[in-house]
Amino acid sequence: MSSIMKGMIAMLFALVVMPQCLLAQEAVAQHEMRKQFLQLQSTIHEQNQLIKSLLTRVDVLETQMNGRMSTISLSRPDAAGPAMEGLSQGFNPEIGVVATVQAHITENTEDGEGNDTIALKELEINFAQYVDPYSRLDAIITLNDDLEENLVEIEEAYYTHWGLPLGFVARAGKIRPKIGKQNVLHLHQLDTVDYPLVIQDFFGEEGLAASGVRLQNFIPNPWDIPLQITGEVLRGNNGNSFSQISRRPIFNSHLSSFFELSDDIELELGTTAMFGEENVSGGSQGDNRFGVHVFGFDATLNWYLPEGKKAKLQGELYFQDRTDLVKTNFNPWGFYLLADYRFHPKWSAGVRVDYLETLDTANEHTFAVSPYLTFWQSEFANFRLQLQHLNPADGQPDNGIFLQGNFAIGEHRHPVQ
Amino acid sequence: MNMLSKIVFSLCVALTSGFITSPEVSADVIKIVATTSTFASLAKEVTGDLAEVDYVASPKRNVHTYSPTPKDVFKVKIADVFIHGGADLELWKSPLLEAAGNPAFLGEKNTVIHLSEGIQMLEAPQELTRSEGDIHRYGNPHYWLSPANVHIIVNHLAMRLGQLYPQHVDVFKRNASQFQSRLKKKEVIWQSELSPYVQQAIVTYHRTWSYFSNYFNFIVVAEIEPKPGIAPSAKHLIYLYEIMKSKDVKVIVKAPFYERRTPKKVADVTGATVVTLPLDVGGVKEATDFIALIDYNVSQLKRAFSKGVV
Repeated sequence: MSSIMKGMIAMLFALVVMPQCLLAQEAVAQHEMRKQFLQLQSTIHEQNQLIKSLLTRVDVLETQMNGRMSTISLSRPDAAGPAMEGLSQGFNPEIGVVATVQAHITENTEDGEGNDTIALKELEINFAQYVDPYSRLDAIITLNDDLEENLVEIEEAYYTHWGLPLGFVARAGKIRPKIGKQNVLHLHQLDTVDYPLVIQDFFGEEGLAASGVRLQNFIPNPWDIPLQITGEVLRGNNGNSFSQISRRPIFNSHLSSFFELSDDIELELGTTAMFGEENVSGGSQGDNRFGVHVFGFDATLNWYLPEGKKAKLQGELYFQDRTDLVKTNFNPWGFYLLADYRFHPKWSAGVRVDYLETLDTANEHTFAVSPYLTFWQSEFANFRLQLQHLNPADGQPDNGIFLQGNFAIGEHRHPVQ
Repeated sequence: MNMLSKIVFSLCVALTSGFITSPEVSADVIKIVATTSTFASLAKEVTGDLAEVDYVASPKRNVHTYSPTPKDVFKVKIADVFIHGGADLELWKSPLLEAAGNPAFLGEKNTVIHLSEGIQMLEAPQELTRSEGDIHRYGNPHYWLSPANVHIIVNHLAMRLGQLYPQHVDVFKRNASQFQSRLKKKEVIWQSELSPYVQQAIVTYHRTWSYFSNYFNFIVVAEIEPKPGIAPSAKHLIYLYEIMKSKDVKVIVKAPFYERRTPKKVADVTGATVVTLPLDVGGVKEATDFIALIDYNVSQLKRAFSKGVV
C-alpha cells in the first residue's frame, strides 16, 4: 500500500469516526449542563425562599420598629407631645423673651407716668413645657421700668390639662380671662399700642388677668358650626369693676361661633357674660351680692386678599348693670371699632375708634380715635406709629403720639384663641 | 342663690354642655385631618372611600404664618388621625392640638403621623440663629414638591395607616401602589416636557422650590427675599439684578400668596418672566390633586421658559 493510500484511509477514518466521537462528547456535555442547570434552578428556588422569609422577617421588624418609632419620633420637637429627648437639655422648657419699648408725646401737661417719655413698657419672659403626656405649664412673667407700678408681675401662669372626661380642656392658674377678643391678648399681640378704652376702664390699663380656673369645650349642633363655650371662676381681687376681695369671685362665660362666609372671608362672633361683686368699704354687700353684671359682644371679620394681603374689622361692645354701692355710673357702656389692613409684607395700617361712658361719669362720654401705621421688619420685630385724639368725659381733649417697638427672641408661641 | 350653689351650677352647665362633644372614633369611616391640602389629598389617595379627609391651612395662604381658626380646632377635636409635615413646617401645630385637647393626638400616640420621616431633608442650617431669617431647624420643609419624595410619603402613609387600621392594610397598599403607578407615568412626561430647560437658573421668592428644582434639575441662584421670611430691601434688589444678569436667569417663581410687585420690578429690570406656581393642592382651581398640581406647575414653567408668557 502506497503511502498515498495509507493517508487516504486515515483521512476517511477520521471523517467517519471523529464526528461520532464529538457527538458522544457533546451529549455528555449537554447532560452535564442540564444537571448544572437543574442544580442552579434548585439553588435559585432555595434563595427565593430565603429572600421571602427574610422579607417577612423585615416586615415584622419594621412593624416592631414603627411601634417604637412613634415613641421615638416624639423626641423630636416637631412632633406632637412632650419633647423627651432623653438628654438633660431636652427637659428644659421653651424660653422666649419679648421686649416692648414705647415712647409717648402728649399735649397733656401733667407729669404723669408715660407722658413725654420713652420707656421699656414691658419685658415679657415666657417659660413653657409639657408636664407629662396629659398637661402643660406656661408661665409668662413681665418686667417693666414703670415708676408707679410693680417692676415684676405674673402676666399669666397656668396649667393646661386635656383629655378630661367629655372632651373638656381645663386651665388653672393666673389667666387672661376669655372676655371678647382683645383682653386675652398680650400687649405685643395687639394691633395698637394700647388696649381699647372700654377694656382699660372696665378691667384695668392692661385688661383683666386673674387667678382662677377655666373649662372649655365645643357644643355639638346639627349644622357643624364650631360653638365654643368657656366657663371661668376667677379670684375677685382684680379689675376696676369688681370687688378686689379674693373670696368674692368673678364668674365669666364666653360663647363664640365661627363662620366661613367664603373661601377668603371668615366671621367670628362671641358673647361674654360676667358676674361679680362691688368693692364696698367694710365688705358688707347686704342683699346686693353679685351686683355687678357685665355683658359683651364681639365680632371679628377677616378678609384674606390675594398676594398675602389681609383686611380685618373688629368690634367689641360692653355694658354693665350694677348696683349703686360704689361707682357713679350704674350702667357704664362702651365699644371700640378697629379696622386693620395689611397691604404689604412690610406694612400695615389701621384705625381704632373708642366710645365710652365710664364707670365714674354717668351721662357723659369719652371718645378717641387712634390711627396707626406698623412697619414689619420681620416676623420677630415691628415698629408702630400711633396718633391718638382723646376727648375724655372728665378732662381736656388731648392729642398724643406713640412710637412702639416689639422684639421677640427664642421660643415664643401663642395659644389658639 | 349662694356662692357655692353658683359654682356648682356653673360646673354642671359646663359639663352638660360638653356631654356629647367627647371625641368618638367612628367604626366605619376614618376621620383624618391633615395640616395642608396636599397632605390631605395624598391621604385620600391612600384611604379612598375608607376615610373622610379634611385639612387645616388654606392652600391660598402661607402655611408658615397660618393662624388656626375655631373651626380648625373643632376639626381636630373630632378627628381620629392627625397628619402633619413635621420639620417645623407648621409652627402652629402644637397650639392647635392643645386647643383641641383631643387626647388621641397629645402624648405618645400613633394617631399623629408626621410625613417628613424617611425624607432626605435639604438645607439644614449649620447654626440656629434668627440672624439668618426665619429658618427651619430640620431643613427646608417644602419636601412634598418633589414627586420622588411623594412616593416616600405615600408609602409611609400606607404603612402607618395600615398599622392603625390593620383590617384595611391591603386596601391602603393597593391604593398607594395604584397612585404610584399613575405618578410614575406622569413623571416620565414631566421630565420629558422640562428636559429642554435642565440646568436653567431660576430665582424664587421664598426658599420654597429647592426640592422641586432638584427633582427637575433647575438651579436656584437666589431668592427675592434676602433671607427666609425677610421682606426684600433695595440693596438686595441690586444684588438680584446683578446675579440674574450674570447667570442669565429667565424665570422668577413665586407662590400665589406672595406679593407680585417686587418680582415684577425685578423682572422688568432683568428681562425675566414671573411665574406664579401654587404650592398645594387647591392653590389654583386646576390643581385638584397632587398630579394635577405638578401638571399645572410643569405646564406654567414650560410656558415661562419657552415663550416668556406668565
